[in-house]
Amino acid sequence: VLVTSLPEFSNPPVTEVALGVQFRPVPQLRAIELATLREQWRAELPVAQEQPPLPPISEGQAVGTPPVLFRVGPPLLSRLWFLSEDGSRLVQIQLDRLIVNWRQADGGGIYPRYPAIRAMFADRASDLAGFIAERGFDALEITQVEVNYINSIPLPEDRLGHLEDLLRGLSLNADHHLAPPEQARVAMVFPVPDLGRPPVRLYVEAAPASRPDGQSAVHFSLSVRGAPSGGKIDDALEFMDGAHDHIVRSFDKMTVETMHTVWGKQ
Amino acid sequence: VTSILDPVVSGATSYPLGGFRLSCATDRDEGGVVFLAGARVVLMDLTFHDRRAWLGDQARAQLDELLQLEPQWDGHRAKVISIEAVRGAVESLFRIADEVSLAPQFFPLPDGGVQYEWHVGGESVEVEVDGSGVAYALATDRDGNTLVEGPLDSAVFNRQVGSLVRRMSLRAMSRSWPLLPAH
Repeated sequence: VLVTSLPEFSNPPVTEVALGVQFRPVPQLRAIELATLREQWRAELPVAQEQPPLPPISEGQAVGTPPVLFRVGPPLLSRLWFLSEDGSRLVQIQLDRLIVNWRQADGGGIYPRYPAIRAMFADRASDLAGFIAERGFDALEITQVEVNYINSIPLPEDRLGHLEDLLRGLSLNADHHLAPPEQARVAMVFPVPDLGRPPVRLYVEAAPASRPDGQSAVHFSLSVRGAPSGGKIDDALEFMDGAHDHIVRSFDKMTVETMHTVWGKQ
Repeated sequence: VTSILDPVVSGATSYPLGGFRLSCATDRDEGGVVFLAGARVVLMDLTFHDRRAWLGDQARAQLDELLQLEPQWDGHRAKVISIEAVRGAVESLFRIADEVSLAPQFFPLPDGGVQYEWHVGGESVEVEVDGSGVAYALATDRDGNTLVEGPLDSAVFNRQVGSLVRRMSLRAMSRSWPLLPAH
């Protein structure tokens, strides 16, 4: 059940968004085959890199079920990255994954908002599906979807143990004889009952981090992962919309109002 | 609790301190723990889970060779490469390099220091690390004009140098993509 009105922030601290799908491996989707697709994307994504592949994952029945599965079949040769010149837009492809990322570029960069990143994913997924169909490869059958939001919130180094500066309702053992802690990390997992096929979960984590310029910060990530209701791109997009909805509402509910002012809540 | 604290293996590219570890990890997936063997051993726990782990491997391979140089390796009065210089080189490298940076070339210096350099299309970034581990950067354009110069000891300056390295690396990679069909 999706709400129609979501909290809005004019200056959210989001520094990375990743919208991704895992699909049944398409063995023919090797780097050499992808050269054509790369040509198609070159104008917008001129930089290419090879990365180690991501392992296959699947949301388990219980929290604590090992999320990493062993693969039987062809080895994952590599994961290809196609980047925009400033590195802010990234498309990742491997035999069983398509992930579209927006990342804050050096020196800033305005968060383009979810609809723009969703459209970027939809375009690339459509390109990939068309590419696969043209060559008669196995059709794209999506098995897992994930939506990741990463926020980097600057905090003085001596406040990294004070997550209550950011998170609502947090009481970190103030009467502990060694308090306050020097650093703190919080992780939570929520079941998401109204999305895709169960189990679907929302993972939230706040942890100390270092920004590229060396400034201390809290890395506040919210990720939803699970199986979509069907294996088509539209099913994945529907899952992503619902996941985005949960993430925005969670971000709003879990963070303190003083920070909402800083982030321009409307 | 452990399972809750195990971060999600995701398609995002940024991680908190400590990164994440895959439960099916191999040595490679364990990240970029830089281990310099040779005559002496330096252990630096630099855990990265993106391309910087590769950069760590490249730095390790080159610095390992430099650490094995004997005194007077230049035929004159050169000292052996100091542990401090190696530490200074690795630490300064990861202050300016990001996940798109190409690996620089490392050279020994007679005072026990190390120099590492990037050269692309006539532009250069050179970082000299003296025997005590202090790093000093110089960047020049294709006409030899100085772009930036100074010690790598401030976030602002590190960022300036890092931006140049990033730009040069992107330019070099965009020219050398191996999958380009032949024209």
